[in-house]
Amino acid sequence: MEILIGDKGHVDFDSPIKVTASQKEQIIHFFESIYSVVEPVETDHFRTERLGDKFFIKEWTDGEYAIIFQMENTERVCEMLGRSWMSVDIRRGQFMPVFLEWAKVNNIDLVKCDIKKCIKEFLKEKRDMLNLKKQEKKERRQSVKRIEKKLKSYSEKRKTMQFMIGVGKATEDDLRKLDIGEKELRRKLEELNKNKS
Amino acid sequence: MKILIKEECLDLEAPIFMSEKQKEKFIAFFKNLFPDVDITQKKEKEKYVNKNKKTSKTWSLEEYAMLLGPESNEAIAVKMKRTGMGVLMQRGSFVPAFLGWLKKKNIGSTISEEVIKEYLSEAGKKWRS
Repeated sequence: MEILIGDKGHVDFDSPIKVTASQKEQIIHFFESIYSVVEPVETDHFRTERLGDKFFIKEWTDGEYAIIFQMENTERVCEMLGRSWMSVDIRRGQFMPVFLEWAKVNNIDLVKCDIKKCIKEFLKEKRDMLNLKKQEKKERRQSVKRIEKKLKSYSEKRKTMQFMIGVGKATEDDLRKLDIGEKELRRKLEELNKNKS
Repeated sequence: MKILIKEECLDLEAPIFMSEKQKEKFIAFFKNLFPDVDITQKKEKEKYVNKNKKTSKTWSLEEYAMLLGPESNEAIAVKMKRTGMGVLMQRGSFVPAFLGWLKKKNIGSTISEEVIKEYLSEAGKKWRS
């Protein structure tokens, strides 16, 4: 087997590893001994891209959210989760205002309270918001893909339309409608990208 | 972290971050478990590559105090004339560590600039007066 060691602190295997049942157990226990949140998941396929091929984005799980709100310094949270400091700071920075606002509204003193209990309550209340954000992000990504695909087809559509005009099967008005449609899609795309940023 | 399993094969969901100590344990563990383990150094791909890196302005005590309030990152960025990402990252790093420090020191939740100064001194961070 081959272990890949990255220059920014990440580690990977060069391909999935073949294990016996006992090795599988040992590996899971090992990861549980060095990380706070470990989830063994059955899958039907493995990734082909490996460390160094691209920048990897991992979804955040509920278990991880419970850790990032704990009042630990970034280095400690990185060690607990197996995520880079940048990933931890960005995620914490996104949700910290919401958490502080929630504490203020509920008159909770974050220094004196039982922080684990507070985090649990906060996540329970905000789970819908987190899920909604995920859903919105997914829908936005799908819309962008759909529009980009449609826009790509416009140059072909225009050529066909010009041919149709040439043989008298379409009019200049049809071409104008096509232009308006394209303009509208570009506006939508711009809006989606603006919302994203 | 997720460990993906399919029949007799196992993999990581994605590359995983490790401290030097964790890395040492990881390599020792796998060398003990498998007879042949090769180690290959790799250059990682970065998401944010800023070729025109500018050194960030040191934060003032007043700015640190503002990060502890419930105002949005965007509103704070406008007030401080900083980038949204700069505020977000500083907040993600400073606020939990500072609150954790207050708790550990058993200092009340009335936060003054003096308390922030004490924390920054202990954490070895600079501030602008």
